[in-house]
Formats: sequence, structure tokens, C-alpha cells
Amino acid sequence: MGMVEEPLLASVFEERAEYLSKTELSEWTAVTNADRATLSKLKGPGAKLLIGPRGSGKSTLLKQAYFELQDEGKSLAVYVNYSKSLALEPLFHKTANALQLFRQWVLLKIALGAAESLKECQKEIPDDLAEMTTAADEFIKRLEAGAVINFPEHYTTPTELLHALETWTAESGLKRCVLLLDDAAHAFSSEQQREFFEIFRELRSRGIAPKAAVYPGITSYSANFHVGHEAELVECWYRPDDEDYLQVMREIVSRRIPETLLARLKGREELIDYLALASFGLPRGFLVMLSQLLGVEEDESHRPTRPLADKAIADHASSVRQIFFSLAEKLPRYKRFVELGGELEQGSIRQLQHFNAGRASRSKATVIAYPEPVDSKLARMISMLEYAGIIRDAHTISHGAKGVYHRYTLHYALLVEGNALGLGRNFSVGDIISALSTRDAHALSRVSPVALLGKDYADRCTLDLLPCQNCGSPRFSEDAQFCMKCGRQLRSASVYEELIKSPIDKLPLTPNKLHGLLNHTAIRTVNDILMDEDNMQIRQVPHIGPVWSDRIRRYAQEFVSV
Amino acid sequence: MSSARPGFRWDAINESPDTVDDDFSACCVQSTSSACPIDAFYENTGEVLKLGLPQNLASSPTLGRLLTLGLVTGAEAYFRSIFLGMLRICPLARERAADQMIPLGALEYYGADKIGMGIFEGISFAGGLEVKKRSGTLLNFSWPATGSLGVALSNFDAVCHIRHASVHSQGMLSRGNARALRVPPTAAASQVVIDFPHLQKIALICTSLVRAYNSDLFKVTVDKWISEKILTGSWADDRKSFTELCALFVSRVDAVGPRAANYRYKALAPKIGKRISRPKA
Repeated sequence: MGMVEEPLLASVFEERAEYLSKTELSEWTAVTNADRATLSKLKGPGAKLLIGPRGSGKSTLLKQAYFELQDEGKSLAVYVNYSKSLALEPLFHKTANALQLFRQWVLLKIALGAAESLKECQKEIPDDLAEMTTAADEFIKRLEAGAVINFPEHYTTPTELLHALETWTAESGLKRCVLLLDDAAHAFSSEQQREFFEIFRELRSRGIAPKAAVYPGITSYSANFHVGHEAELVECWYRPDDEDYLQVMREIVSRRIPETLLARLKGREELIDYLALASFGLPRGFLVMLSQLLGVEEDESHRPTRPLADKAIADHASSVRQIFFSLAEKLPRYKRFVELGGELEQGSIRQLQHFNAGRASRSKATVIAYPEPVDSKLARMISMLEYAGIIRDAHTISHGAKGVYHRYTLHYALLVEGNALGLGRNFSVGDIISALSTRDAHALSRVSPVALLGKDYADRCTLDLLPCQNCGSPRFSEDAQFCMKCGRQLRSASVYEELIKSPIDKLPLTPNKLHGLLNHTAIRTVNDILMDEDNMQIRQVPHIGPVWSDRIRRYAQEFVSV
Repeated sequence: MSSARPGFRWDAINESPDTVDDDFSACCVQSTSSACPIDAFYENTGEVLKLGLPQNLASSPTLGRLLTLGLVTGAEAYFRSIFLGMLRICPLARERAADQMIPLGALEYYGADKIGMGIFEGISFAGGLEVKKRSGTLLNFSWPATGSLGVALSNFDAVCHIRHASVHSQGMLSRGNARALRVPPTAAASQVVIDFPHLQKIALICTSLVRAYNSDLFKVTVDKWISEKILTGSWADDRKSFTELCALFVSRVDAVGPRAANYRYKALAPKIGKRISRPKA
């Protein structure tokens, strides 16, 4: 039962952990045994990479680790969120020292985080830290606003920060400093990514334990960073096929949802399980669907029904696909890979539908298996699908003479929406719950990607390189920086500047909300949402209250972030 | 009759040399470029890169090194031209250069108009140190190491080490080159082989340096002309010098901003006016 009396609805359905208070986080988060093990690794020594798609709970775990470390009082916990790193990307097109500015931004945010943590623990802030943070705050703000600025008076290096953190930790009477670096993938700027992981590598010592939250699939590391050796990979993604999965999700509901809303679910508890499975182990998606089922800010009088649950799942499936397709904007060179990835996903759904037709509930498959070898183009498509959470790596398996297969579980919301479980037309919620939770773990459908994409898929899967803006000649290759015909430098648009100009239909909004914004506000682009102070324009739309307005702003922020 | 033992054959080491004359006068043609220094740099860069197709670079380890030399030469030529241009049009630079020594023959060879070239005879701008030194002594122009220009120059320095190895030792890196390029010391000597992506990167580094230097020096010069009241605030009086300044710095190839100097002058008018009304410090 919820321990907080009458919380604001906006907080109840707040999906992002970094916006929840310590009390809310502690009382609304259900912690599984697997979570406990992960938290132990996050709080302990050694470098760790916490890996999971959007909405898997990485920030929740990092924040929990932060608060627990503070309560324990033995370590200096430093939490830093790097979600705004893409705002620095335009600098790479404007100045030769963007990498150095980025490095300072990364390091000074850690210094600020350390000062914040000491303040929250009511410990004295060392003089040199206070001096460092005085200019740091302004430097960081201006950089995130896109200004090309000078460095603070003292240029900090990773080694200097490492020693400083060790000193501050010791002076505060603490044993270790744990760096909890959130949204650290920097997935859309290869220069930032390489630089970040070089810094991460250097910020390790006996007394400093860095942890970073990254995405599966599209996170690539610097040349000197060897995953597994430099840092242990820790997975953060609930397994919907775990025995206690549904219990955990029900606990999230009972801890978080106020009694008044819980009452609407009385007698319809199986809809909670339905949405929990459809969320595919990703709590954020679960909360979004739940709020839709409960009619939050839509229709306060309605009761949760099966059609509403189906609609919530269909909308969520669409939203998950939108995250995937947004990669075409964030990685414009890989536009065709994204298109083909969409075809691969659709083809896989059809394949499973075909496989599952007529099979008993226990024999239904949610896993698709592609045979080896997986070429580099297919591997990239798969990595993008993993990033979006559309598929989950279920590891390789050998089928003896039949060969080795790479297995992937498809997002349950997509399977439900695409009727890929082969349950016929009039299936009950119980049928779906049974098919998803009591099936044979070894059931899978083997298919060659060539069968799904066509023999010519490799030819279609080419980099989308803009031609020379001067003479129109096609770009020679991915590595070309200059036109081989006219000799002029080939210019690439800033990813960030293109993203903020994007129309709002690129965001994972429901059709109702999209039309609402278009009909009732002057908001047309992602930047318009970001510039809408206090969500004033957004709140003018009927059926958009604090929950939805915050969610829309977060969609916009996530669209222009990592 | 006894057979004499043959003597040591001194000519049996390698093939004999040929007689060749040293007349290259036919190769020395009149320079026709009238572009401003940065545009001349762009032109050179483009021409060099067109020779660097991936398959050609892959099949010839020498080609990449030679083209690197071509790219760095372009950057060097930019610096020579911009220094010469500044000596010609900037009274402050002329004053600073007044005590520079030049060979007597430079007057006859270059003529009075380009006598400044005599200062740079024997000087190489294939390295950050000389660029920084001359910028300081002749132009009173300096910058922080961590700024855009500082970083661009540092990257150019790395490229110059590749150029040095390419020119002097067929790409074999000396200890100094290897250290500058952060190549770990190994038992076998390292040799530079430039492929397509790296040649493109070298061109980008040279381009970034020239752009950063060009825009920063322009800004610093305008600021100094304003603070020293070389710009008077009257377009009629300032037209010649400001137009010459824009002609030296503003890139027609990039075509960013207004082409006509008077539009740029108008934008500066408030700043000039403010300075004119203040007594000189």
C-alpha cells in the first residue's frame, strides 16, 4: 500500500527516477533480489557499466545506490546525469577545442556532484572544491546552452580530478568515492563517446569506483577501453520470464498508486499482469500504460477495461517503435539501416505469428533466432533494435549440425499488438498472460534474415551520405571529409540542431495528444516544447495536466539527448 | 706467360652515374593566384586531395606521405601570405617589423611591395613553434593553449611530425616524431603510412588551423585598429585600409557574411564610435 499520503499524480506517474525525491524513490520502488545484487555492485568497488534500454530502471538503481550510500555514511557518493551531452555536439562544428570543452564539462559535473553530495551529507566542502565549483556552474550552463566559451581559469585533467576526489573523500572521513554516472552512453556523437570512456578509464583507483549507465547495442567504447576488462557489465532489465516478475510489478503498483486509483482496478487485477507483461520488463513503459488504463488526465470516471488495456499496449508499441525510428534523425547516416531494421522487426513478428499459429500455449515462441554468420550490416541493425528495447539478446545457442543461432526475444507489446502469439481472434487476457508467462523457455523460431529482408538487403543497407553541398557530387565514402571532385570540405549538419528543429510528430505522442498540441497551441517543433517555460502552452491542451505535460517535455528532452 | 691477377673492381658496386644539367628555368612559371591567403589554401588543399583516391593511397605507401607534404605546404604558404599581407597593410605590424633584418638581395628579388618576404626566407612554418613565435614578434598576436586556435595548432604540430618523417626519412619516425605522435616505443622502427581516412583527417586539421587562425587574427586586428584609432569612424577615411583588411582575410570560397566591406564596417560603427569618443589610454 502506498505510504505517501495523497501524492501529486505527476509524481506518482513520474517515470524518470532522477525527478523523484528520496522518500518517493524509496517507498515507490519495488526491489527484487536481482536489484539487491545490482545495488551491491553499484555501491561497491571496481568500475561497472550498468546496461539496459530506455526505461529499464538504470537511473532508479543509480539513484537508489546514491541514497543508500549516503545513508550508510561510509562512501562519498557522487551522482551525475549526462543527458544533456548532445547539446554540446554543435560545438564540434564550431570550434577546434570542442573535445577539450567536453572533457571539462564531464569532469566539472563530477566536481559539482561531489560538492552537492557533501552538502547533502552536511559535511564541510573543501576550499579547493568550493573554488572549482564557483566557476563550474556557469561554465556548464553556458556550454549546455550552446555557447562557445573560454575555459575556467584552471584546466582540470582526469588525473587531477582523480587525486582531488581521493583527497576530498579522505578529508571527509570516508572510505571510498563512488561515481554514479547516468546517461553516459553519448551514443550519438562518436567523438564524445570515445572521450568519455577514456575519462572513465582514468577515473579508477583503489579509492575511486566509477559506474556508468549505458545502452545496449549502440554504445561503442574507445580503442583503449576493453569491456569486461576495464569495467564489468551489469545488466539492468527485469526478466518477464522470471518467476517473481509479476509479483514485482504488482508491488510497484501497490507501492505507488494511491488508494483512490487502486480502487478502480478492483476486480480487474489481471489487467495489471497484462500490462506488466506487455511492458517487457521495462518499468517506465509499465507506468505509462498504467496511467493510460486508469484514464489519468483523460476521463476520471471511466473504469479500466480490456479495450483500454489493448489500446494502451498498442500505443506503447507505437511509442517503442518511435524510439527506434528516431535513430534515423540522431544517426542520419544510418537512415537506411533503420528502415531495414523496421522491416526486420515486422518480418520477425510475422514469422512468429506463423510459427505460433495452432501451437499449444506452452509451445508459443517469443524468441526469434538468426543463423550465424551475422554480417556487420545485420549486426548494426540488431544493435539499434536492442538500443530501443525492441529486441533483447537471448544469447547464442548451438543446434549441432543445424548450426549456431543468435537468439533475440521480441518486445511483448509488439507481439501482442501484432497478434504474433497466434491466439486467434477472441482471446482472453488470461490466454495472453498464460502464453507469455507459462511457455517453454526453449521455444524459438529459426529464420534467416535473408528470408525476411530479401537477398538484396545488403545492397539496400547503405550509408546515407549527403552529397557535396557545393557541386552535388556523391560523397566518396564514409571517411571522406572533402569532395573528391571539387575539393571543398563536406559539411555535416549538427545532429542536435537538426533534432531541435524536428516536428513534434517525431515524438512518441499518442495521436490525441499530438492533435491536441497542433490544434490548441503554436507548438510545432521539439524546440518549441523545450522553450515552453513551465509547460504553459502545453497545459492549454484539453486532457493534458501535470502528468502529461511533464511527460511531453521529457519526450522532447529525451529526443534531443542520448 | 703468367696470367695477371685481376685488380679490385671499384666500379662493381653499383651502376655508374650519368651526366645531367641543372637547368630548371623552364619549370619556374609566373605565379597567377590572386586569391586571398585562406582561399589560396583551400585551392591547394582541394587539388592535393583529388590526387589521394583510396585505391591509389592503398597501393602506394609513398603517395600518402607526399600528399601530406603537399597539405602542410599549403598551410605554410597561408602563414607566409598572411604575415606578408599584414606587413603590407597594418601599420602596427610594420612598426613591429621595422627592426627585422633581411638579406640585401631580397629587395631586388621581391621588390619593395613584397620586401617582407625577405623576413621569412629560410623559415619553416611546418611546426607550431615558429607560427607562435612569429605571430608574437611581428603581430603581437597570442592565444591560450586550450582555446580553439591553441588546440588546432597542437593538432597541426602532430601533422608536422608526420610531414617531417615523410620528407627526411621515407616515413621512418624519429624518437621525437614518435613521442609527439604518442607512438609507444617498440623494438622495430615505426613508419608512417597514410591511408585515405588519415589523409582526409590531416587535411581537416590543416583546414581547422587556417580557419581558426584567420578568424582570430582578423578579430584581434580589427580590435587593435579600433583601440589605436587607426579606424577613425569615417568610412571615407577608413575605406581603403578596411577594404584591404577584408580582402586579406574574408574568404570568398566560404562566403559567410556580407561580401562588401562597407556592410561589415557598418556593423562595427557603434564599437568604433564608442572608442573614438573615449580618450586614448
